[in-house]
Amino acid sequence: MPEIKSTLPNSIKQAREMIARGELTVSGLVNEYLKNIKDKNSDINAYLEIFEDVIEQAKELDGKIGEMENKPLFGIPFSIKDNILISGKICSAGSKMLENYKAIYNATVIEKLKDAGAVIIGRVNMDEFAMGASTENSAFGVTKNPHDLSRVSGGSSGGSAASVVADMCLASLGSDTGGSIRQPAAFCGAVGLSPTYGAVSRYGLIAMASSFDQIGPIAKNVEDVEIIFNVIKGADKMDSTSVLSEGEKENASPEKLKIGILKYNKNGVSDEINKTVEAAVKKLKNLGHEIAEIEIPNIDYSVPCYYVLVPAEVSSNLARFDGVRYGLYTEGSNLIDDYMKTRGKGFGAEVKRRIMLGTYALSAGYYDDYYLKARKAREIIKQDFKKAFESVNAIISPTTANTAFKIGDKSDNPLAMYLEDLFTAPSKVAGLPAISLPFGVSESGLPIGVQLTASWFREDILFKIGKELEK
Amino acid sequence: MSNKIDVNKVAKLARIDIEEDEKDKFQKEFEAILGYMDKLSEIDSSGVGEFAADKSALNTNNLRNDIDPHQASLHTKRVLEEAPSSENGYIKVKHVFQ
Repeated sequence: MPEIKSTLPNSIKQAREMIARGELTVSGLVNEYLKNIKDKNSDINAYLEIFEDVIEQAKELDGKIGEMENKPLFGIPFSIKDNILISGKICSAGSKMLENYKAIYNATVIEKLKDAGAVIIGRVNMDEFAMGASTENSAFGVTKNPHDLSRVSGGSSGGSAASVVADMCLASLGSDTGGSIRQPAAFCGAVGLSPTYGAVSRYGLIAMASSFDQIGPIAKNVEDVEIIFNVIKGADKMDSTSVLSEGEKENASPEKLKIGILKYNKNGVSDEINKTVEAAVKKLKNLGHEIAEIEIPNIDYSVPCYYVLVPAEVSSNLARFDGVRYGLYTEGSNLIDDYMKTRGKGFGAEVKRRIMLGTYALSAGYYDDYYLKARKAREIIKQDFKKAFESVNAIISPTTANTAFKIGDKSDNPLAMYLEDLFTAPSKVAGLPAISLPFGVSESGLPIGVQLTASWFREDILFKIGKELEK
Repeated sequence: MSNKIDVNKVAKLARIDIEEDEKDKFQKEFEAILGYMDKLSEIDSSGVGEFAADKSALNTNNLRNDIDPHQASLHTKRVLEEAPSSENGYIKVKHVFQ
């Protein structure tokens, strides 16, 4: 990877200090990132668009430096995944269907970032409608891994992870439905958090699977992720599934925690990653935490459960793209034919695949076998986790079974791509918060991520352990 | 579970036009994916309900009162600008009944 320029801050804290001391203006900082984008983006393809008002945003903040203290993200340059609405800007969800769609309002998380003083540089690439684990499903080309341009950045939030790691922004917002924040973070060497279901408002996030989708931060370190999470979290009257965090509050976590090592099939995971998890566990043990093995008895059903429920929700959520209200329109011979042609032309293969699978799983005669069974499996998995968190504070596991794969390796095998979610889907099935953070690199120099999962609304525990691990 | 899936029928239900040459590929992929999903039939779900039994915040909708609506037609213009076709403040579509 190209050398990181010494003038660039490595954390939000450092950037704020540099701005506060007058070593750097917000405009100066933004210009450094714009230079990097100019140098690197044509190779990496993280950004789909740089907003024309970015310098304007920076200059405005430079004129309000007195407000810095009350704005936790003052002057911090962000990239935003292309499925989060920013008023007046194109939001394409990586799809031809919305190639020219301009958002007519701000997502709640965008309002919150702006209120906190963030600068929004542009929108970044993703798998179409967030379906995929490599960004190869984007209608606008793959985002390459900054560590090795022949490899994928992961997905679906690949643009977010790559833009952070390649110093094309300091932090990013992505979305995680089955691993879409954590897997690209692991592949690129960033920290990524998928918050508890309901912790962050999804108002203004283009829906994929509504009982799973969460917006979360991707950044350079755990503290940055924590700062961003604290800005974006909270109940929102525009999202009826968002709730006030419950956990934190009553019982602060003890100094020494009980951490469970997830029991998993080590044969299915690369040696280097097994060893990395062992090394992380050893470090936590040396820090005085109690370590125990923990079993989630029905965890192997998570991926099949996920890939029944998600397509079912996808088939319903994406019914809105019919050429009537917004987006692409392709004329047919009658109204139904308009729908058929518009959707046939506007959606890529994976989106079609999931819509059709979901339609099938919900259709008469199959509902009980697929959808209903998966709903029940979801409850069983949730109960498994509930029981586990009665005996441990957090669970440690790999984030992925392997390091970033080669572009094209899995693009012809949808099932192999689905199995990328092996370690990230279970927490989503249960609605739990989980974080991936880099812990070492493979022999070939590719980042390896370890994952921590905590009980509902216990992001505070993830941050505590995460910070200890990255020290 | 039977993994017979009629791609033509499902594509029609899903309102997606698919090319002749895509059908075989989808057919094979669906069979492989559904074969994997069949793993779910192993799980013993007797006595488990479809929806969560516990009424924690996670399983409860957080609905607001239906009061203080915004001014009517405040967003109409911007919404209509995104519609592929509109006329006199309405979205325009083909005849529903021929």
